[in-house]
Amino acid sequence: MKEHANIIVAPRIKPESTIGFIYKTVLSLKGGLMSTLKYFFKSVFVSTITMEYPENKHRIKIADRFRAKLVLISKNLSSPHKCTGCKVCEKTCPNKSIYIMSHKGISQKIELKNFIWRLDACTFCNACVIACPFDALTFKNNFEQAVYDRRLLIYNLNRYIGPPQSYFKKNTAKENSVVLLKPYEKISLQEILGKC
Amino acid sequence: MINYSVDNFANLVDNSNNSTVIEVAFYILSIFITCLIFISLFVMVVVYIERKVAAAFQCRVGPNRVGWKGILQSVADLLKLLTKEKITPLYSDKFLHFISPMLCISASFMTLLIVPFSPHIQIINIDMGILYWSAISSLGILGILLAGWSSYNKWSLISAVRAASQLISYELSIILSILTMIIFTNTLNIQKIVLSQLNGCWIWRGHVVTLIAFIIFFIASIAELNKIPFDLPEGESELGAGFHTEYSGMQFAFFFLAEYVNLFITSTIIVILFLGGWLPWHISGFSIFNELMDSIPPIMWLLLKVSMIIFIIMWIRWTLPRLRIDHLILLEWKFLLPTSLANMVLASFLVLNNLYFYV
Amino acid sequence: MTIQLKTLNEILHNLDEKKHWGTKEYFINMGPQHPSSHGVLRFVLKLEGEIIKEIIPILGYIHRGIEKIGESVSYRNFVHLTDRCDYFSSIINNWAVSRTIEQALNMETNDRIETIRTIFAEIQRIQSHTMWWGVFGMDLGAFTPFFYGFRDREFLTSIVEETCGSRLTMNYIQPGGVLYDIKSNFIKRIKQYIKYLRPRIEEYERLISDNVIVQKRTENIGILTKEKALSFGSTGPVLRASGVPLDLRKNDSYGVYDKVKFSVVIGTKGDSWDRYWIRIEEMRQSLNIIEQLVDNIPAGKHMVTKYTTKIKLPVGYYQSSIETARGILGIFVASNGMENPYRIHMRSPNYNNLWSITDMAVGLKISDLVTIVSTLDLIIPDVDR
Repeated sequence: MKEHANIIVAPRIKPESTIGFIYKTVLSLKGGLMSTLKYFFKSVFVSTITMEYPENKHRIKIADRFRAKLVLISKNLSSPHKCTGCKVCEKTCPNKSIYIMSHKGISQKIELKNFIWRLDACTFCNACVIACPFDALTFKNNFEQAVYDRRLLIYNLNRYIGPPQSYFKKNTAKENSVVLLKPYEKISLQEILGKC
Repeated sequence: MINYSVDNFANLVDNSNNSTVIEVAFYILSIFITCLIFISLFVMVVVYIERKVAAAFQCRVGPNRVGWKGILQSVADLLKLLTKEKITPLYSDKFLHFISPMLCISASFMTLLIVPFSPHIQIINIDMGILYWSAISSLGILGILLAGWSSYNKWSLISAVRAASQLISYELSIILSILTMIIFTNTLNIQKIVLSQLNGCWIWRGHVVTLIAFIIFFIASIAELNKIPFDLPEGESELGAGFHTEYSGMQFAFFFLAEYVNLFITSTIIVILFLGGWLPWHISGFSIFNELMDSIPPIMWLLLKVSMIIFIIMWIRWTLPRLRIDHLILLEWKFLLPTSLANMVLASFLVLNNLYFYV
Repeated sequence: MTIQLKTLNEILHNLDEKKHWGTKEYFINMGPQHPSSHGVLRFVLKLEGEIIKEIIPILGYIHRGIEKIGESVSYRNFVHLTDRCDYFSSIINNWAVSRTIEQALNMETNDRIETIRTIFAEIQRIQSHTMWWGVFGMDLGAFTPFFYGFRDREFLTSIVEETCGSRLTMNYIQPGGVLYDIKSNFIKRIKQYIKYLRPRIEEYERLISDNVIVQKRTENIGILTKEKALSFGSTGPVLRASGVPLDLRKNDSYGVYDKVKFSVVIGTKGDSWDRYWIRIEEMRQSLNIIEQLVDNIPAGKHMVTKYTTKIKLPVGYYQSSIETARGILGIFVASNGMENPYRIHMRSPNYNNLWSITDMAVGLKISDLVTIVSTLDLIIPDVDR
C-alpha cells in the first residue's frame, strides 16, 4: 500500500471526570433538543417538506427525462411515426418486453404492424430508446400508470399502420392519398405471452 | 354524581349507616362510566396530538385525510382496533394472557380517582392521595410482566424481564422525590399540597433541593412511562413490539390506553407537586394581572400546565436515542438513587432551619 | 490467521444437553423480517440471558440469480442488472462493470466522461451516507434523524433524476461513456446543494455525534482488529476503521481521482464509533471533491462508441474493482468470445463485511448487535445478489 499524504484520523472520545461528564451530558442533550425544536417551529409556522400528492398535481414538475411510459414519436396516435419495424429494439431489450409484428406494406418494404410493449415486464433501462437507429422511441414522464387489471399493462403503441415518416419526406404528394387507418386487429394474449 | 366539595369521602361514609348497597353500587358505576368516557375522549385527543407533534418534529404533515385536518384519525383507529380478530397463541397461558391487559388498564383507571382538576372537581380526596398513587401505579408493572411471560414468545419474554427490572428500579427514585416534596409540604393530601403553594410554586420556593427533585422525578417518570430514551421494553428497532407483540384488537388497545393515561397522570403529579396544580399564575403586586389570571377557570390552568409537561416529554421522545439496558440500570442505582437520598437529607436540613422562601 | 465459521447444523449437533435445557442458554431467531431492516437478514443467536454467545447469519432470502442471468444477456444489458444490487448508490455499480469492459477492450474514454462519472459517483456516495446516517439514528431509537437523512438524500435524487432520468436504478454509466449528457442547470443546482449540506453535517454532529447516549453505545463496541479485518476480507469504512488506509480511489486510481485533493479517513481502534465517524467525515471529503470538479468539466462527447455496436470481449479472464460507498466491488468476467459472458461474478463488499459480525458481537448484548449491524452499513440484496 502506498503512503498517503492526506490521512485524517478519527478522534477518540475524551474520558471525563464525573462533574465534566454531567456538564457534557447537559450541553450535548440541550444541543440536540434545540436543533429538533428549530425544525418543529419551522414545520408549524413556515412549511413542511411534504409534497401532498393529489392536491399538487398542477404544480408538480417532473424531470422531462424521467422514464415512465414508452411512446412512438409522432404528432398523434394516428399520424405517421418513424418506426420501420426493423426489430433492433426487440433484440436489445434485456427481458423481452417488446414484441414487434411487422408486415410488407404499401411502400413495398417492411412496415410496422403492431408494436407491443409490456409495462409489467419492462425495467425502464432505456436500451431500446438509444438503440433505435431511426430515433423513433422515447420515454414520457407521466408516472400515473396504475390500472386495476394486469392485462391492461400490455400496450399497443401505434394506431397508425403504414409507411414511416421518412417515406412521406420522399413522396410528399402521396401523403393525402395514402391515408391508412386500419382498425385494431385482435391479437390474442396467448400469442404475446408466448413470444415475450 | 360527582360531589362538588373538597372532602366528599366523609359525605359518603356518614355515620347514620343509611347508604344502601344499591346506592353505593350506583355511585361506583357512575364513577366507572365517567372515567371511561374521560379516558376515551382524552386518549383520542392526545394520540392525535402526539402524531401531529411527531410529524412536526420530523418536517412532515401527519394525519390529514380522515376528517378535517385528520381529527377523526383516532376514531378510525379505535374502530379498527375494536373490530380486529383476537388471536391467542396456541401454547400460551390462557388465563394470564387474558388478564394482563386488564391489570394494566385497571391500575391506570384507579389512579384517575385522585386527580384534582379544580378545588371542586375531584372524584375522591383521601388523606393519603400521593401514597395511593404510587402504590396503585405499581400494579401496571405486574401487567407487563405477565403479558411477556404468558405470550410463549422469547422476544416478549426478554422485553418483559427488561421492563420489570427497569420499572421497579425507577420506582425508588420516584418515591424518594415524592418524599422530598412531602418534607416541604407536610401533608399527603393532594388538595392541601396544591393549596400550600398559594405563595409560590415549590419548584422555586425550595431552591436547589426542589429543582434537583424535579429533574430526578422527571427522568424517573419518563422511565416509568416506557418512553424513549427508556423504551427498551417496547424496543421497536430491536424487538418488533416487545411485550405486547401477541396481543391484537381490544387487548392491544388496553395497553395503548393504559400508556396514555399513565402519561396524563404522571404529568399531573409533576404539576401538582412542583408547579402549583390548578393555581393560577400570580405576580405579587400587579393586582390587575392577578385578577385577569384568576378569571381563567382552574381546570384550564391544570390542563395548560399538564400539556406543557406532555409536550416536553414528547420533545425528548422524538429527539434522543435509547439507552442500553445496563446503562439504564446504572443510571438509576449509581446516579439517581444516591442523589435523591442526599437530596432528601438536604431537604430535611432546609426545612428544619427554615431556609426556603416564603416560610 | 484462520477464521472458523460454523453452520447452524454443526452447532445444533454439538449441543451440550445439560447446559442447553437448563434455561441458561437458548436459541433465538432474529428473523428475516426486521423492524430495523437492512434487508432480509436472518440471524440465529445463541444467548445466555442477554449476552450473545454465538451468531449465525443465514442468507439467501433475496437471491435473484443476477450472476446467472448475466450469462444470458449481453454485456451492455448486464449493466442495468447491477443497479439492483446496491441500490443506495447504483451508479457506482454501473461504473464497476463498465470499467472492466473498457479495460478488456482497451477503450479510451475522454476527460469529460471521466469527470462526469466521478462527480456522479461522489453524489451517490453522499446519498448513501446521508441515508445510512438516518437509518443509524433509527436503529438506535431516535426516529427523527431518519427523516432528516431522507430529506437530504431527496434533494440530490431530484438533481440526479433530471440528468439520468430515473431515481433509483439509473443505468447511467455504460461501457463507452455515459447515457445522457448533463443538463444545463446541473452545475448551478449542485453548487446550491453543496452550500446547503455543509451546515447540515454540523447539525448531524450536534444531533447524534455529540450525544452522550450515542457515544456510550458505540465506544468500544464491536472492536475489529486489523488482522481480523484483513483476514475476513472486509473493505471500505469497516477496514479503514481498523487502521488500514486502503482506499481504491487513491491506491488504484480511476476516473479523475488522481487529479483532485482529498483525504483518506481512517480510525484507530476499529469500534463502532470509528466506523460512524469515518462516514461522517467521508461526506465532507466527497463535498470537497465535487466542489473541485464541478466548475471545470472539460468539453467533449458524452459517449465514445455507438450504443448499438456489439461488445465482444476476446477470450480470457478480466477483472477490475471500484470503491463503492461500502467497500470494494469487484467484477470478474470470463469470456469465450461470444456476445454473452461465459461467467460474470461480482465480489460484493457487503458479503465480507457481514461475516465479521460472527467475531465482533460475541460477548455483547442484543442492543449492541443492532448497533454493530447498523455501523457495518449492510445492504442485503448486495450480499445475496
